[in-house]
Amino acid sequence: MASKSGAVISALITLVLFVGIPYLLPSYIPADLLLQVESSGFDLAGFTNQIMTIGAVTAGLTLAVGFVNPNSVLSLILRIAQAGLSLVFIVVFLGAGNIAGLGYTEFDVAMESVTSSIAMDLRAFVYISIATILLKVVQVYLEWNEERIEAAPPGRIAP
Amino acid sequence: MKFSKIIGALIAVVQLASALGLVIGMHSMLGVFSTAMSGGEQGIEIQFTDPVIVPFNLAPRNGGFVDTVLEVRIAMIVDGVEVAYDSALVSIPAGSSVPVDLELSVPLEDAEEYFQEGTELQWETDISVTSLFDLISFSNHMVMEAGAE
Repeated sequence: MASKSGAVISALITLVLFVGIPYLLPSYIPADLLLQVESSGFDLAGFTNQIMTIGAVTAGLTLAVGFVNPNSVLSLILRIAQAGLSLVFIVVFLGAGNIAGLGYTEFDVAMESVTSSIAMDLRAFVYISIATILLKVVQVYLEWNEERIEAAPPGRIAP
Repeated sequence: MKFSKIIGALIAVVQLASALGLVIGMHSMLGVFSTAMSGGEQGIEIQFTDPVIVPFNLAPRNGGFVDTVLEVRIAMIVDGVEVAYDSALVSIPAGSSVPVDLELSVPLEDAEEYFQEGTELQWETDISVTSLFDLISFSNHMVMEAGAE
């Protein structure tokens, strides 16, 4: 029961942080700043849509993890999917919406008689994140295995 | 202690350290970049001597907590051909400012031709800032038509 209510609360927080706030954010940005951001070639709407989609899927997974049997294979798959999704979030965030860039962002800005090509390289952090997410997958598997062994009746070895 | 808990603690430490590194590195990197750019907005006072000197004085400041490396290249392009350039590579320690003085030198005879009407004159600048032990970088390649602010 506690895990279910915890899952609901976590899913709600995820929804507020990654769906609610990105949805409302553009309306709070001053119009001139919004125009400046759009003229810089940065697709703010596309970026917020990506964040909201990842947020909604993460909230769904969080909810599902709380409601399935923690010792089931489905629970393991859902938890690994959660870890994978957090990696996607990091790549999207560091790449300013460009997943394929893996942390390398490039955009062109043209204003009157000035053209500018801006590039930002944050790939090192994406590589660190890949390593930590791989570790997270190992951790999730070990936790799942430990829970399964603990849940097995005394004298029985979990299948 | 369970092995999964040890891995969990390791993940938490790595994630915290990388988040901190990202914030600190970005702070230094973008700070140096913005101050270098603002130095270049002061206008260019061309010295009509022989040779004609076009000076660029930048005063990048690293207000962050990690060292940064700034690479600047400025070139003068006339009708699509690079006629003069200068570049500098400086290391800016945390909390300090390093002036960068560049100048383009053009023979007076050529300069008179370049600065006359009908010539397509452009300024090309490349500014690159790396920080956090070269792990992150930010660069800007800019082409300005002559007379642009």
